[in-house]
Amino acid sequence: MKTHKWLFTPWTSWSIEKYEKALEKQALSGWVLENTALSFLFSKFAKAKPIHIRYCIDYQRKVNVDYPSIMSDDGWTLVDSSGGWYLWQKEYDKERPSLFTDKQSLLDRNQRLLSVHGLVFATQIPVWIIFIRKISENPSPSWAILSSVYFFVLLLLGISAVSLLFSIAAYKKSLLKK
Amino acid sequence: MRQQITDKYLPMTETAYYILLALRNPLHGYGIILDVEKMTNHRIRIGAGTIYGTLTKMEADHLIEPIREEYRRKIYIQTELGAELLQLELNRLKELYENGNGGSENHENA
Repeated sequence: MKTHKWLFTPWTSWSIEKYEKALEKQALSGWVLENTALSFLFSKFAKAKPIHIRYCIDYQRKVNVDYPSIMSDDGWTLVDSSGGWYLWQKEYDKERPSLFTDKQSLLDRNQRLLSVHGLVFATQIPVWIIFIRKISENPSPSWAILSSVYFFVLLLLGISAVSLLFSIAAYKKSLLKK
Repeated sequence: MRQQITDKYLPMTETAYYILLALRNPLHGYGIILDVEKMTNHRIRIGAGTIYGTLTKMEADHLIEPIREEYRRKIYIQTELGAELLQLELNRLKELYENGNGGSENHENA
C-alpha cells in the first residue's frame, strides 16, 4: 500500500483559504501533509489515521523573537516556510482553531500581501524599461521570444495583484454586510 | 493624545480592548491569551496570529512596551499612553451602558 503521495497544489494569495481547506480535507481522509516543495507548489502527504488538522497561512515580511514562541505556545507547529510565507498547523477535536480570530488582523494580513504584490510589481518596472530599450536597439528573434515570455510573466503578476485587490474589497464588503 | 491614535483605535475592537486591559500587568503573548480567556469565561480565545499582530502594532504606536525578555518571549506592559487610551474607551463604554440601562427610565420620568 502506498504510504506517501505527492500532489501538485498550486495556490495564490487570493485563494489561501481554499488551499488551507484542501489540506484539511486530505488530513480528514487519512493523508497528513508532511512537507512541501518549491514554495508550497507541491505537497507531500503521509498515510495516517484520519485526523482534524487546521492549517493556516501567514505572511510576514520580518518577524521578531516573539513570533515562533507565541505560535508554539498556542499549539501551532510550522509545516514549512518560504520567503515570508508561513504554513502553520494545529490538531483539534471540537472547536476549529484559527490563527486570526478577529476581522482586523485578517484584513491586516491581506494588506501585507497586497503591499508585497505592489513591491514585486514595482521592481519589474525598471526591468521592463531595459527590455524595451534592448528590443528597440536590437530587434533580434531571441529578444522577441524572451520579451514575449517576460510580458506573460508581467501579465500574470498584474492579474494576481488586481485579483487580490478585488478579493480584499469583496471581503471588506462582506464584513460591512454582517 | 494624538488624534491619529484615537482615530486608529477608538472605538476599540474587543480584541484590542482586552489585550490592552490584560497588559495592566506584565504578560507575554500567550499569557495574554490565557488571561483574556479567563476574564471572559472562555468566550474569547484570541488566536496566536492576532495576538502577535496586535502586539507589534501596539508596540509601534507606544501603547505598550516590552519590559524584558524571558525564554525568547517578550514581556509587555501598557504605557501611560495605553492606559489613557483605555480610559477613553472605558468612558465611552460607560456612556453606552448608562444610556442603555437607565436611559429609558429617565425618559419616562421626564
